[in-house]
Parts: sequence; C-alpha cells; structure tokens
Amino acid sequence: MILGLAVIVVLPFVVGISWVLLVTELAILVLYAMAYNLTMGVTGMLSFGHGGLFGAGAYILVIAMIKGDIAMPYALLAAPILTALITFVIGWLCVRLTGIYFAILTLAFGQLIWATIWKMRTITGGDDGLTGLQIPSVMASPTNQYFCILAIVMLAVLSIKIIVDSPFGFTLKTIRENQTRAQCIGINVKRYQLLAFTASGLFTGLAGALFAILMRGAFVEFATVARAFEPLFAGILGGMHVFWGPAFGAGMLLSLDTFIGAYTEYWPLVAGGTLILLVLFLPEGIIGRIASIRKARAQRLNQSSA
Amino acid sequence: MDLDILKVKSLSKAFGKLQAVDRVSFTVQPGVVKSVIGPNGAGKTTLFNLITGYLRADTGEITFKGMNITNLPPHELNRKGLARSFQIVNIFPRFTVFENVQAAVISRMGKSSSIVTSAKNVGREEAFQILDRVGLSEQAGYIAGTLSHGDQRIMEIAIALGGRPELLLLDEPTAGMAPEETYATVALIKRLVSEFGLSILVVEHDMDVVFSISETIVVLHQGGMLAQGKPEEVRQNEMVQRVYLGEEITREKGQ
Repeated sequence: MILGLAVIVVLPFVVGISWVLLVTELAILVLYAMAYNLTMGVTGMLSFGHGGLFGAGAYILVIAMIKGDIAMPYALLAAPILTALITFVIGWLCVRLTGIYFAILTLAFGQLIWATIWKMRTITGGDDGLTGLQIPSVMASPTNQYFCILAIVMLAVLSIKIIVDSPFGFTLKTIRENQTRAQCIGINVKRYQLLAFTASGLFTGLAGALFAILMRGAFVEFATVARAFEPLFAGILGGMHVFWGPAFGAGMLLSLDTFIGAYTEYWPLVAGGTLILLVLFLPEGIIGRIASIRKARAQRLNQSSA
Repeated sequence: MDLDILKVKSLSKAFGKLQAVDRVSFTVQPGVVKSVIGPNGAGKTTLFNLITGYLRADTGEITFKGMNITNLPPHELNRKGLARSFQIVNIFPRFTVFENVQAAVISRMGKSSSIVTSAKNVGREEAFQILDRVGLSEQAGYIAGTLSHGDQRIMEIAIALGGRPELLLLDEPTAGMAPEETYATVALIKRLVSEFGLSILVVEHDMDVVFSISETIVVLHQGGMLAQGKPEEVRQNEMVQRVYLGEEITREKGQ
C-alpha cells in the first residue's frame, strides 16, 4: 500500500512525459472499469450503455467549460452528477427488464446518447468534437495533471471500495447471486438495481470528464459502443467478482494497446485472442483465479485444523 | 381480534383452462404446523406461490396477522414476517454459509442501503445464533454450494429465520434427503415451533413426516380442497384414502 503510493509519487520524476500521460490515462480507465463493474460484476447486470454515459460525462464537462464558461472544479462536479441523473432515468426504464433484454435496452440508450452528440452540432460540434479546452494553469503541466487526476481517481476508487464492502454492496451481490432468493429475504431487487446502475453512472461520468481533461476536448468516439465494451473486457480479463480485477484488466488492455499496438496494427486481434483464451480457460479472470486459489487453500487449512 | 396468523379465503388461480387452485380456504393458528398434501399436480406449489406473492391470485383473499396481503410482492411479504423455502434448493451458492444467513439478517435489520460501515460484522452475532440453532455453525465458513444437499436445505431454513418470521412456509423441506437428514429436519421443524413459537405451513410428500409434525392437514386434489382436519381424521377420511393416501399407505416402504 505504502509502496504503491511511493511509486505513484516518485514516478513522474523518473520517467518521461509520454509515460506520465500513459499512466494518467491508465488511472482514468481503471476508474471507468471499476465504475462499470458496479453494474456488471457487483450487481450482475450486463450493460452496453456505459459508452454513452462515459461520453456524456466528457461532453457535460467540456460544454460547461467552453460554452458555459464554468470553472473546472464546478464542471468536474456537474459532469458526474448530471451523468448520474441521466443514468437514473435510463435505469428507471431499463431495470424493468432482466438479462439480455436489459442489456439491449441499455445499448439502445447508449446509442441514443451517441447519436445525440453526433447530430447536435451546434452544441456538441458533431463529428468535429469540441476542442481547445483550457485547463487551469496549476493543472496544465503533465506532472501536475497526473497528480490531480490520480488523486481524484484514488478518491473515487476508495468510494467505490467503501460502497462494495458496505451492507449496500453486499445486498447488490446477493442480487447478482440469486435474484429470486434476494427477493424473498426482503430485498426490493429493482430498486437496488437502479441504485447500483445510478452509482455506476456517477463514477462513469467522472471518468469521462477526467478523460476529456486529459484529451483537452470531447469527441464523439468517447460515446461509442466500443467504449462500452472496454470496461467489460477489463472485467473479464481481470475478473469481475474481485475488487481489483477490473483495474488489473484495464491495465492489461492499455498495455496490449500500447505495446503490441506499437508493433502491429493488428493489436485488436491479439486482444481478441487473449479474451477468447481467458473466457475459455480462465472464466474467473486472472485476479479472480488467484483469489479463488487463495480461498480454496484457506478453506483446506481451515478444514484440516478443525 | 384475529387469532389466526394466516387466513386463506376462497383462493383461486387458473393457468389457461387448468384450474390449478380452486376456491381453497383454510387457516393457520399461531404456533402450530399445518401441512398441505395432495398428489402431484394437486396445486400445492401454486398455492404456495400465491401465498408468497410469486403468482397473482385470480380471486380470493389472503390475510396475514389480520392484514390483507393478497398479491403483495415477495419482498414486502418477507418484511411483514412471512418467510419461505423453495422446493428446489434456492440459496446463494457462491457465498459462505454464514453470508447466506447474514444477507437475510442485514435485510431484516433494514441495513441493506447502509454504505457507511463495512458489511463484515453487520448482523454477525445473530447470523451465528441462527446457525447454532439449526446446527450449521461448524460449516459457517464453507462455500454454501459445497454443502451436502441436506445441509443446503437446512441452510435455506436458516436463511428464512434471518428474517425473524412469524410464519414459515416450507416447500417440501425433506425432498431428496437421506433418512437421517429427514429425521434431523423433522426434529428441527418441531423445535422451531416448540422453542421459538413459529407457525409453519408445510408442503410435503413424505407421509411419515407429515403425520409426525402436523397439527392439522389440508388435502388438495385437482386444485380443490378434498378434506381438512387432524392427522387421524384425514387418515380415516374415505375420500382421501381413495384418491391419495391409499396408494401412499399401501406402497412398499423404503423405496
């Protein structure tokens, strides 16, 4: 823990700017993956709509700052909150459905957001996007930006951790494990699914806003379906039923993109292949597998000592 | 003052042309075990699903502690003190045994929305008390799905107890159990009534179990009520013998 913090603090002073930017991006993608996992891994709802929510967060921040002349701290508050509101409305309509029907409806809403961004040129800039975001000078240098964004991400991930470990988070997991059973221990399943989806949207909006800051603008690509698959892949790679699984998965995805992408433009092929192998042979994900090996060992020790 | 904990009045449910439950009426008194029996397809499980809110009744009324609970959703019924187990094991298989019961306790405590504390110790003591009561505290740390079938069924009762119910509905609690497991479950059911004052409504196939635990019995046949009364009365009822008990009683034991 302390070692990790030390690495984070020292890192920008020992590596080049491109690395600092890469790690900043990684932090944002980690937040995005963990935000998404509140829906998928924790509550067991498959959503394809998070790309739209990520884009919404980005655009709300950029529109607020460029068109509304709102200071960054306020825009950075408004983005997740408004995204959460949007998510709440979408969720309110979607949680009536379950399983694949829920997923398809979230996909439709995600596409709706994407199409809105694409078509409302006067506000969103259409396919040109919105560029030229002015960042406050304290945050302008890559190193300062790195520290600011990492601090925000860590705070957000800590919040997610608290949520997941709380009785509320436990309740979400009971819904994931067995909806019927959850119902008949007195849990209002739809209500909790909506709450989880909204919380997930809040943090997804924050990740989108941070991403817009890093990219100094918002682009319609932020809101595509492909964006919605990223955190899902991250969860599958790392393991979505263990807290740090999606974070690890996000790291793997970005590494594959960056390092293999530098050698060949066919990196998605490698990513796809990795995914297939993992789904076939390691369905719990990498961190998930490690966790369950540990758990099995602990139980064996327990039994032999009893 | 209503003395009956559960009152079912002229309850009906049809699936298309099939009248699955046909004008069924009975009551459950506090602190007793009442059984619902009947051949396959008699409408026992449908009746259970109606009472516990999984199906909507066509007509009729269900009263619990004097409140009209007809067609309330399952989670609200649970909050009012009515818990159930399922015919097919229905648990949180990847949770530990302790967590299975803890989930129910947390929900009953009204702490399901709390996000300020860690869930780890919430309701811990009570969950362990319940596990002690049903004799599963040794297995508290095991993954629930790895327990024997009999233990999983007992754990289901433990989950139901987490809601501190006043009325427990058990859907074939001894189905698929080995004889010694059945024996233990029967003892547990008797203890829940005598020591904890629970009222229990049971659907059960095993006639030995039914006759040893029930204060009164309701016999269903093709959705309708065939008879109702004390075990001896039911056993001697001619109609019951003809449509149902005859075959059961004359059946070879131990198969």
